[in-house]
Amino acid sequence: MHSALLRTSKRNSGSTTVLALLTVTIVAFIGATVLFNSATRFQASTVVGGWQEALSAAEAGADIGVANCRGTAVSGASGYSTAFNSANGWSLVDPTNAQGNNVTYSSPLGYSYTLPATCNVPVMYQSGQCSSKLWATVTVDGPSGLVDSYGNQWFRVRSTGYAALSGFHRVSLDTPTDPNARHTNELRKLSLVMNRFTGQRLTTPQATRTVEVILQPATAFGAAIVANSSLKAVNSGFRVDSFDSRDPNKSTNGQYDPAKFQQNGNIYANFATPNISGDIYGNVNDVGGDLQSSPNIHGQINNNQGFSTPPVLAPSWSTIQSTPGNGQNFQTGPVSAPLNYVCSGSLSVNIQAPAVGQTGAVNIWFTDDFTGSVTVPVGVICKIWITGDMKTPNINNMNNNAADLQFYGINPPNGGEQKWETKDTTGYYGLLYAPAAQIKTGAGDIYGSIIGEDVNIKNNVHYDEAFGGVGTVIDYARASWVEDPR
Amino acid sequence: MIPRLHRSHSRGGFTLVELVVSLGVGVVVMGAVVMGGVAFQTVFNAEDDYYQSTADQLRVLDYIACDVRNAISGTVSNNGQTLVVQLPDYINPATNTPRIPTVTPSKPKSAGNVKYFANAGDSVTATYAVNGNTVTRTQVAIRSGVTTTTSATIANNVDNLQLTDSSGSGSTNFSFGPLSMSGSNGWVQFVQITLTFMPRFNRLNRASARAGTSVSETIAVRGN
Repeated sequence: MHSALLRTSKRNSGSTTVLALLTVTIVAFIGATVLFNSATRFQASTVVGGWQEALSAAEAGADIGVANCRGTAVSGASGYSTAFNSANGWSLVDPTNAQGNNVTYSSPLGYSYTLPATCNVPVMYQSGQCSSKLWATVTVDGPSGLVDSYGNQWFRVRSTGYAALSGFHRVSLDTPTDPNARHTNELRKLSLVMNRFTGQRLTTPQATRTVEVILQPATAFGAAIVANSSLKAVNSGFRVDSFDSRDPNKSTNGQYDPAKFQQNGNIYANFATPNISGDIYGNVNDVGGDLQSSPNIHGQINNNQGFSTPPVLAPSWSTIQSTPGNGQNFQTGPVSAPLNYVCSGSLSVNIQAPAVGQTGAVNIWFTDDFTGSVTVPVGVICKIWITGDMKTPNINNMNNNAADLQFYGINPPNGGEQKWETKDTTGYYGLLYAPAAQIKTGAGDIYGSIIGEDVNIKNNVHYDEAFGGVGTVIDYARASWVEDPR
Repeated sequence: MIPRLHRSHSRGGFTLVELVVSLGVGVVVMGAVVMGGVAFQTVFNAEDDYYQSTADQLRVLDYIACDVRNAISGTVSNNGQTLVVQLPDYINPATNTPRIPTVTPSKPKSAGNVKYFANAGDSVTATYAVNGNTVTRTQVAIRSGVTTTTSATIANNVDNLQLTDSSGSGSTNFSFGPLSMSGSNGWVQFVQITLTFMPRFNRLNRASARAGTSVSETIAVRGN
């Protein structure tokens, strides 16, 4: 009996152990299942968040690239004294130019820089988000295919944003072979084990997204009227409108036609209170003002939109022609290689007309005041720089195209102001860019664009929309944004 | 030894009362375990359905957001139920590399300043539409006169897809892009996407157990 009792006791003990193990196994299985399901769903969710955050990183990199492009034309736009500076992390993509793609550009602000250049945006750490760290790499270049018909270079900014992913190397719960799969993996492409572009093995799974931004040059004559300090245009019947010399529906023989006028005669006041009346067929913009809608303003009003007017620097030409004597004309060179003149005194500008059907170009710099008249024959593009004041009695641009006659006022040192007055009474086609000048116009209409410090207009202004690419580059603006779907 | 054997014999069985009580307790415990398990499974299914719905909604929003950001222009019609966007042909399918666009000088943000197409007649169009309870994305690419169509169902169980011009007009039938910038400052336009799914989890098959969840996202149109 004693031995029987002991045997019974041992059987009971064994059953308890088995039951305990079974219970522990079941509980562990349930726990593991719960943990697995939770972990996979958490993982898939964090991957989605990381993928979205990678776009923020990419756009941050693109912003840096855009700021540096703008910094070549707008002082301080890049946040540094010079754009694409190696001190700020920029380096050449191809330091030895083995590919032969390096191009050196002249900044309108007076320095040179070489592209393609790249910059690694420092790692941004974060907590409590889907990805613990973000970083980006931005590259800026100017492919030869991105030169427009005015010869201006457009820039391409490509930025790749990275988000480090934690946890398993899992994309989503989608199974590609599942007929109910919803194509998550086609949308959110990740690099988990290998970099999907370079094939290199990764130490950390990554979400990467790349955006491409194309920047187009904004040139000096992007608006009908720009004034930096004051604008007075109060004559009765004053009118600002636009036409497009390239479009026969918006012009006649490339000239302004009142029956085909357009509504892109935009005005920018880089201050608060422009003094304007009459009909404005375009947008009116000021900085910090309180302009209200008016029946006479046929476009939109923006009280917080200025227009950049970088200073005009003195030309730096390597070859200069002799100043023509009395009774002699200025000569022209090919449009791609204009002849350059540096003059003093008060000559009138008379230019030798090219042969019929031919074109020519000439650049003239008056190093003091200019008081002569200007006649531009058919087929000639004339650009005039003036260091001092201007008072011209007559302007005759026989091309009837304002892009063929451009005036630039070189900014006086120490913030001085020039005085420019066009006393023309019959109107002319021309462009005036003198951001430090007090400009007063004559009684005739102006078919062009006026940019000055203090602008007093006594006549109508008809802006040619074809001027969008004409003149000195003063800024760069985003023309397109696209994300690489690969 | 003998007394111990006697005591052992006295504990060798259970009385009827003990059995009834123990069986009763056992049934209650097992019932609780089974009900708890069923409830646990039910909660898990509900949570999983909610998770799946949220994941599906985010995916559809991400699909639409990507295309709206990239869009050259777009049109919302059918009272906010249908979206058609014209996309740049950014990747050359023959080389799987980005194209260098052609550029045309005009004022910034004008239509057609930047074109990623190889030929004048090329186009890429993506259409989002609600068909029954599904959302489909259909892409039609025309390259050199050859049309390629791809279609995919990117979500099911959809109750409603609503697109709205959130730039101020609140319209559900509108266009966006450089040709029709209608933002309050004339430069920025926003498209709001609201997606509502039907409830996937209906306890006791009661369709009105709870309303379907809605999620919204507002996209700033880049305006290529």
